[in-house]
Amino acid sequence: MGNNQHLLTKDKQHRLKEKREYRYVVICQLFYPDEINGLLDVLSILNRNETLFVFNIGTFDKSSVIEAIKKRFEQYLIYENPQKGRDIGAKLFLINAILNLGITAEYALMVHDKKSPHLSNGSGWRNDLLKILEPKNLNRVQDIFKDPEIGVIASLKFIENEYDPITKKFKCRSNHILKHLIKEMKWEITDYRFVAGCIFLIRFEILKNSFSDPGSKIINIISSLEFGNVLDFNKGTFIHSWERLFSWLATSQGYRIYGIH
Amino acid sequence: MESTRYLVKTHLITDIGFYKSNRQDIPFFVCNVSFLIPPDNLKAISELLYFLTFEDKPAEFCLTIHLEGALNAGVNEKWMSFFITLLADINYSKFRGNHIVFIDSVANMTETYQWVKNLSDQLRSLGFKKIIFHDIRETECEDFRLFNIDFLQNIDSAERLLSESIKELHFYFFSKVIIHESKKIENFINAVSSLEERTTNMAIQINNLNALLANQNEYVAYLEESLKSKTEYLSFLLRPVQENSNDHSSTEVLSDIQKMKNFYHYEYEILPLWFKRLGHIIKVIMGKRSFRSLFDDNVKKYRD
Repeated sequence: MGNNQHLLTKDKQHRLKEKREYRYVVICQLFYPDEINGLLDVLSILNRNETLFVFNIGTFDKSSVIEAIKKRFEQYLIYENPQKGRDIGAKLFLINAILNLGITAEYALMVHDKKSPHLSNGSGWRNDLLKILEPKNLNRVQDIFKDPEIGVIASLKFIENEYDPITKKFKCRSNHILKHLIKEMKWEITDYRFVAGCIFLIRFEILKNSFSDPGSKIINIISSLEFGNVLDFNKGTFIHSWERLFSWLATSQGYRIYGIH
Repeated sequence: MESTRYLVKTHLITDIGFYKSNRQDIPFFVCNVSFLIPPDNLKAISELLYFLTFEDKPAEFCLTIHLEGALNAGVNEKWMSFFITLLADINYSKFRGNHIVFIDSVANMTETYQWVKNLSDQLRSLGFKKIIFHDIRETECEDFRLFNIDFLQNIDSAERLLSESIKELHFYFFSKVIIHESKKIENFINAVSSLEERTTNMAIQINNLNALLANQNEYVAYLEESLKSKTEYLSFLLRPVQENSNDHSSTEVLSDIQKMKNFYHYEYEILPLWFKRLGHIIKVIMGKRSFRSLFDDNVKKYRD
């Protein structure tokens, strides 16, 4: 760089492995300022050489969040994509970035700082969803994924099924959007179970297969998602629909969802 | 190498607003790079993304889109997927929270305008609401001043620029020189750095205040969003609920919260004030409320 070398700064901590292959890639959205440190502490269990953490920061106090990430993790990428589609939009954006960068992994952890301020047990929800990261469960992950049919591992408590095979309808307000999206994706699904709360471990190849041409597909999905903190007012939303479709990325490819206690 | 062409052919943007970015040897300037990218060229934009992610990253950078020849009306979606990844980088330059994208166009003006408008619309649909597009061939801009450094060579022009910056609060300057060989920019920065101490201190203070203002604006935006969300949620809770009695019909019923609110209104709120006050006196007589709390808001009201 000659005389102007000093004009560029390198963030040495940020340097990533040349080979771009990891065991885990953590796809994480951070939004609620009071929840972020707690979640980062939980995620620290995966802070190994074999894990890449990819964050999207949606909160206002970005610099302190960035510091908190730098302090805890060795290999990370941080983005601040605008708030389109809540955690679902952020996760799609991060998948897009990872695939565009040619990064591959064995498993991806989809996670966000889940908070349900309107529920008295809002924090309980989060703790239950993060059960997959408890040391005893994390040790089992490799064994569970040895079964080639298992594509997703999640907390058993949150594996739901809203599909009514008699009426052929989903028992939720997003029924018509779900049907439209399944048709659009040309999926033939027999297992309509999904992980409510959208926190789970998934085989990375499922994401790769689903978005093999990440650009156009993901761009279109993000465009369709609603802005801000969405309430569906009985009409259903694309955000709530994609919360379900994330699990069906796996079941549409013939994989099963495994629930752990 | 093909990639070198795009990485080297950059504009150099120097921004007075980033004094604190660990540049001890340059009192208040940090040089930020604006990478030149052509539209629809996937190879160029993907190589730039790899370079910034895996090899080297300036403390701040932004993008300059080079438009030439006949432009397609639409923006390539795959190119867009790389473009938003670069825009969302935490090191991307922003002016008061807004992303800055420079346009360097030799194409027809109408086509350029249409292309930028299409890009802007697509970005808005992806959530990027605030983007400042600025044609680098125009030095005047509503938001900031842009100066072509190729014409600035001595300390007089540096002094003039600095006084402009104090008036305007924020400015950028650029050069079309190749960054690796630029002596001119370094000379210019050294010239500005050696200016009178009081003037430089004022510039630093202004920059610090600007940073504070940007921070506060972000906080206000967060609070506004949070308030909007809570208001929406409240109206959601109080809305009448559609209940599907069967597949073909639905009935509108009150939500539990609305029922509770109505109960409170009809069972308590509509009672006359004297009756409510009498009720409180009865509570004191029954020993459920302290006598003092009738006259003093600072004492414990109810007995556990």
